Amino acid sequence: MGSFSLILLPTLRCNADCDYCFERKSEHCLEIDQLGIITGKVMDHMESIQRDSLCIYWQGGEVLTLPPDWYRRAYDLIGDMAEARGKRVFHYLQSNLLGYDAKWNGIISEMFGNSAGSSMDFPNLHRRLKAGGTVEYNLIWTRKLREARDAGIKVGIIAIPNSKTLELGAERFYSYFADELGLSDFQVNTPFPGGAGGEVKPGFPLDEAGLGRFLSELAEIWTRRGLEAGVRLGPFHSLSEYFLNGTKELNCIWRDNCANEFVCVGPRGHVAQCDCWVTSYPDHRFGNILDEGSLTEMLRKSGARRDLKSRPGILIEREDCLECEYLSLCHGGCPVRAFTVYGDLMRKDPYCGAYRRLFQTMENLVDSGHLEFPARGAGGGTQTAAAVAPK
Amino acid sequence: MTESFIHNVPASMASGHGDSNLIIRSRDPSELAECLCSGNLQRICHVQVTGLDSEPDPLVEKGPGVPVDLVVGNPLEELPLLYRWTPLLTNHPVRATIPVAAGFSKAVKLAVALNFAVKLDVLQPGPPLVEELHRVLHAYLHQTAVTQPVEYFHSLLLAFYRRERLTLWTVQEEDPGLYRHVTDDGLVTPGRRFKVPDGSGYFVPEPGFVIRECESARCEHIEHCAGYFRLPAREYDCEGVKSLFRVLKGAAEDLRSDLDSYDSGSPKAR
Repeated sequence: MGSFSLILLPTLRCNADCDYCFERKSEHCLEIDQLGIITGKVMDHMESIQRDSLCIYWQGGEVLTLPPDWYRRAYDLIGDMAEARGKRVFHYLQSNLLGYDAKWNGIISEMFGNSAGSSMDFPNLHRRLKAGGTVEYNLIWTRKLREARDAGIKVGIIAIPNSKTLELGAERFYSYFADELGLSDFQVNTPFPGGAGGEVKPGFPLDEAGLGRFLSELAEIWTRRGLEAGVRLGPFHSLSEYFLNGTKELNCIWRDNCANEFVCVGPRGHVAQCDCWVTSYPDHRFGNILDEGSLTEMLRKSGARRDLKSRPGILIEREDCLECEYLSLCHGGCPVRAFTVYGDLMRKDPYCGAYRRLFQTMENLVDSGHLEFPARGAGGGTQTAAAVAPK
Repeated sequence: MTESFIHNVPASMASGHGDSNLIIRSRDPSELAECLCSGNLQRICHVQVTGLDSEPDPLVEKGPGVPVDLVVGNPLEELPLLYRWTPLLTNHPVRATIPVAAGFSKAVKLAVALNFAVKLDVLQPGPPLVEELHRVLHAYLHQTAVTQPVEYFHSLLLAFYRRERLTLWTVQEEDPGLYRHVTDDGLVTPGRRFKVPDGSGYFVPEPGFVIRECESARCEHIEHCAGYFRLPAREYDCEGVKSLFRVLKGAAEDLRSDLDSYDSGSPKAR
């Protein structure tokens, strides 16, 4: 009996105005009674596929634009429904922290195990306040991060490299997060031009070779400086475990088929593979969970989901994935990255070359004895939404 | 006595073999799922899906823990279909049985990449296939990405390492003293290696019948091969498959030597 993962977007309202965001924003918020309907249908689905635990990844929009009391009611509601049906539920929070203050401490402790995921880039070129720029964003975010950590909240960070990141190099990047911010848990995701166009989007995808070089150098820096210090840096940490132990606890972009692993539900009940599909690509939604009787049936009948499920098998025939020595690690990569770059779901991930260089570096580090233990000292880490979603 | 055999039966005939230990096969996952609901699970060794073009959904949730064997027909054509069967891994150990036919190594590569165990379905391979087998063996022995057992290599490597007697007949689930294959027509047979040359029927071998030939040929691998590769065509030239045995034996010796030096605290090994 395994678990089922749900990315839940209770609102698409956001208090930031990041110019690379792929979500089409709205003020709409999920009502608590609608949450009950969604939870009931998700648990019906779990019964039909015999899963006994549910992982809910709370994302937005910005989740903290709903009040703490909303989450308390949501937590109680989901908890009661789970108990009645013999299920276990685990909640994970992904927030920009801009709305964080002490009134959140209770619910973050109770519902999210005193743990949260957030995001910041180095340098920050794109994350902005609605009535301000990147500098103001940095100031507020850094203060909120400090306050949250002072309150005992364990915060894991997702960082998206940009062209300037590649220019400044891996050492500066690592130092910012590990030394300046004092973080022991952060991860690197890759940008893609999802959603509506904008001035920034033409800059994505990043130069593949430059990104590969950056990731490779960052892997070496983490091995040299981070391992012994107990810094958990994704995806290097999970890749080191793969090359050392064969364990595959990889980000969603590298799983054999993300369509087998999770779904995303938006505040209006739209269901799709992940948040980018829900918010910006209506044609690729699976259906609406509030309108349809059964999630299981919706998933079974959905042509969009069928396309996603068939993708890795098609890539094997169309692309060079089968010749790749890292097939077992990647399976052609992320569908949303392929779609937003090429307009074609049935293409491999546009960062293929960068990933291969990173995998090669990690393998070399293991083979050369530089990575000798599976970073046990790094602890469990904060499970951010990025473990399942490409935000 | 028939009850002591493990019968490989079509799902439609499973109920007629209620007293036997069974391998139940079908192209249709729904039919297998029904057997897992209605049959005595303790008597089901595993179920075999004999066509990969259907959807696995009916089988995913039924009979958790019962191993599922995905029988690949044409490795190159059916290769992409392997992806759709990964949801089975949630509740079942899964193995892909892959025929050693041209291009089979690609299917093996994908199967292990998907965390499926692999069984190589091998008859009497000619030189090109032996070469491809060597490539697969090398990947099995040396590539980090291969974390799943590839049979028969895996069991034989362990047998060499542990200095145990184990024959390919057992590893490949074709021991005529243990297994019976029931054809779709209901004919109980000792398996395809025992088809008479003109294809008109089967013969039931006496114990040790081909071993005598191997003994007379003074084959160094008789303990593990036990004449497995001498059937169905008795004139088959074993030299190619012997080279695979030698690589496995050498790898087992290297492994033992490495572990011995580690245990003895050799600084080099540390």
